[in-house]
Amino acid sequence: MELLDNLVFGFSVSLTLQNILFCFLGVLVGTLIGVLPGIGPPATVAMLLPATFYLSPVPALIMLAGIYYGAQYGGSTTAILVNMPGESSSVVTCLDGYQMARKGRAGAALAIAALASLFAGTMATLLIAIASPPLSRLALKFLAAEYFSLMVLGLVGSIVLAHGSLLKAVAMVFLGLLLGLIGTDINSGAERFTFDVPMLGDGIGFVVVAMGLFGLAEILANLEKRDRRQIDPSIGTLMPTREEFRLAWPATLRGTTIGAILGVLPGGGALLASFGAYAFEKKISRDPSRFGKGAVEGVAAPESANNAGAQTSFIPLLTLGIPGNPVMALMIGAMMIQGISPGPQVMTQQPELFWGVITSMWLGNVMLVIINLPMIGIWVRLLKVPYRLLFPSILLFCAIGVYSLNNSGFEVGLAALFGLMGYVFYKLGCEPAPLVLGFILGPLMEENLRRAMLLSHGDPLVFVQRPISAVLLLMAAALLLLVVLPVFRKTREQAFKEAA
Amino acid sequence: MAMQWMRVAALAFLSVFATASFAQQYPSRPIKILVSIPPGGAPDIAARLIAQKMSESVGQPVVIDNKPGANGNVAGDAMAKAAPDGYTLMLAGDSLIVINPHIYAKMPFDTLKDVAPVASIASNQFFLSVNPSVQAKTLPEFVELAKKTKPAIPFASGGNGSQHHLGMEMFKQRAGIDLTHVPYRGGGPAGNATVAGETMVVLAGASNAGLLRAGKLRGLATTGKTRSPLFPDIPTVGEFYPGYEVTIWLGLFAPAGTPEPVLARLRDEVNKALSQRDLAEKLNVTGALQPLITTPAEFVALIRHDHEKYGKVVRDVGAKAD
Repeated sequence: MELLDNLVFGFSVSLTLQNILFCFLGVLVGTLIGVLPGIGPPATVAMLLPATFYLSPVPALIMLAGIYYGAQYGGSTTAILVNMPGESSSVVTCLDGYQMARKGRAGAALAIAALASLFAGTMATLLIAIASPPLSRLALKFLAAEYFSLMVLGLVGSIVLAHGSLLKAVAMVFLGLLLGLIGTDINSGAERFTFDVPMLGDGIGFVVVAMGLFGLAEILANLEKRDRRQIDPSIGTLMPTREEFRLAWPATLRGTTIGAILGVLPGGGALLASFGAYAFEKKISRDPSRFGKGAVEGVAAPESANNAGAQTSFIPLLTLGIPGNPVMALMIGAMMIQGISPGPQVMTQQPELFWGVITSMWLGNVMLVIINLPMIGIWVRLLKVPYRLLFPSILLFCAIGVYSLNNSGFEVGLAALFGLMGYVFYKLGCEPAPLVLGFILGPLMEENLRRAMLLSHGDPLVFVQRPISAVLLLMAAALLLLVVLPVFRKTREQAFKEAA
Repeated sequence: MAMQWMRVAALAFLSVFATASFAQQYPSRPIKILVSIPPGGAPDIAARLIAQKMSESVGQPVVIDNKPGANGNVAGDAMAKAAPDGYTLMLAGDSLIVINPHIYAKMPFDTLKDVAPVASIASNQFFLSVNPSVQAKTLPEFVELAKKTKPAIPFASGGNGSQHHLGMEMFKQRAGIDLTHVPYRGGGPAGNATVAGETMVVLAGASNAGLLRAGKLRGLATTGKTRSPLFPDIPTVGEFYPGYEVTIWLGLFAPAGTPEPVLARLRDEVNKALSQRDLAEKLNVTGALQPLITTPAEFVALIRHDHEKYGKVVRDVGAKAD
């Protein structure tokens, strides 16, 4: 069994003392930021990027991955106990989770959320292990033309799946593409939009953009919200009743499936997964009116879905080197800082990295259940730390993190600028995710476009003559067509509205 | 201009008085070495190895300050404008000093006039290698093949205006062949693309040594003056085209105007460090680097020679970054 061999090999990597430690650190930090409303995984991963430079690649990526799926666990705690989403992906958990808490079933809701997440995490880990090798074998056939078409698909996908106005999503992608143009063009060697500032010669650093748009902007946006948190300390018994179990497990199964699928899509991930699963659960329920009043399925489905989605979004990253969402884009940044160029060759050239990270996810999920259930009291207390103490310290770490990348004060200023931009976007209701994807995919797309054209001696037909490239372009065209069709547009808006 | 002259005059005036006592005290505080790449690459490791040896022998900490950006121009500019007192130095590759001035329309500083060479540190060479599916087994066979193939065989480089690119252009001129230039982001990705068969030929350095050793690339020639000690079976390009040589090197630099006794002291320290065996071994492991010990006159001559050599090929192929 090749799969078994791979998993055993992976565990031999992830079960070393150092890697267990960093996995634990990751899920602990993940839970922490998950519990705290306001600060999310993209911001945290962005802040910790500079620190990972001092680690070797395997523990660095294990830790960063732990933060992402760990946050999915922590987010539900706040949602259930305080009726505030600790994470954007636990928004829907508030609806029924908090109602369960008000009925005195807070403990049961927490337990169901954690166990559903564990189940989903286990399944998603297996799915990654099964699906990745054949996918990356396919991806090894990818040359410049295929990469170009894949990135077109990725960008179109990020537009379709962005929630909110389509027009705004398109605008953000293009803004990202423009920002990505800054710096030296590798094909011609010409500098673009650098205004003779040598610091811009290599373009704007990804960490700078991410830290500003996600980290700093999130803090700014939170500052204007009133700090109104009422914590009900009574959690009650953690044990769900038999009836609750009976309702929860099929919902968990469905949530896991939906989450796993939506996680793989470009632009997908935990957020989309939880919304999708909740909407689906409500639709197929015999009595939809129970939802919003403490329905167990309304906790189990989105919580399993967000965890499954968080993990399966690693599939395109690890097999194709294409980030599906901002956190994955940050992971690419982390890999590139470590001198690893993300792509299908990672699996063969760095098997310890690939299988180590995958198996660490299962390990992390087990740790998370322990961290989140018996230790729930600690997290509840954490919810009482006032923002006026929390935010200045986060800001300080952001500044240190950006500075330490290139020892450049200029970049700290630039990050602050992007922080302001991010705040404006927040006010305008523009999601930064498509911008970040445009920013990271744009330069790669251009590079591959021009390389493919050079190799084909200027013949643009190469993109449709190569079968994989043609299929990818067709898929992108189909997606675009869907978006323009009024029927789909309504459904899309409906789906986001219903969940919100 | 007048200001500049006054600065130089003032410095010269001051240095006459300061030199005697200054050189005895030097160094009385930590020395900073700017490095033009982020931590972790071969030049950075080389800088850290040298810095460690130097701080042991001069009794002051020698610290590394990474200032990457614009192919080294950011670090070079910071160094050139620092006080010429021997406390701000820069470790840089040859490309910053001898190629950047030809490809940047606006250089923030003059790499010959604003920079005082301290000492050469290490050198290595490029490998000219092909995808194993290419028929040619030797360099002459490859030249024959390239002459027959239409459209031209694609070659991978580490970027437009990079040493890989310019080295290959010089080879094309010498061999009288045409190849299509396909730039990648550095020698590593260029080598990978050639393994994958996207391009057929690649000219790159230490980053491709692993691929050569694993047989994923077939080495046809190396570009140094002598064969690479790592691959003694691969001939040099110069064995077929006498006079062709692309040797890449690292050097230590100080701001122009640094007092000569200070430069001499630093040069001694660098050369002392380079002659230690363990350092040489570590340099070899990190980037296939060979220690390069030169006299001041030899180092200056090397810089002038390479500056002219690359200037000519840049003018010929019209590479620029502006």
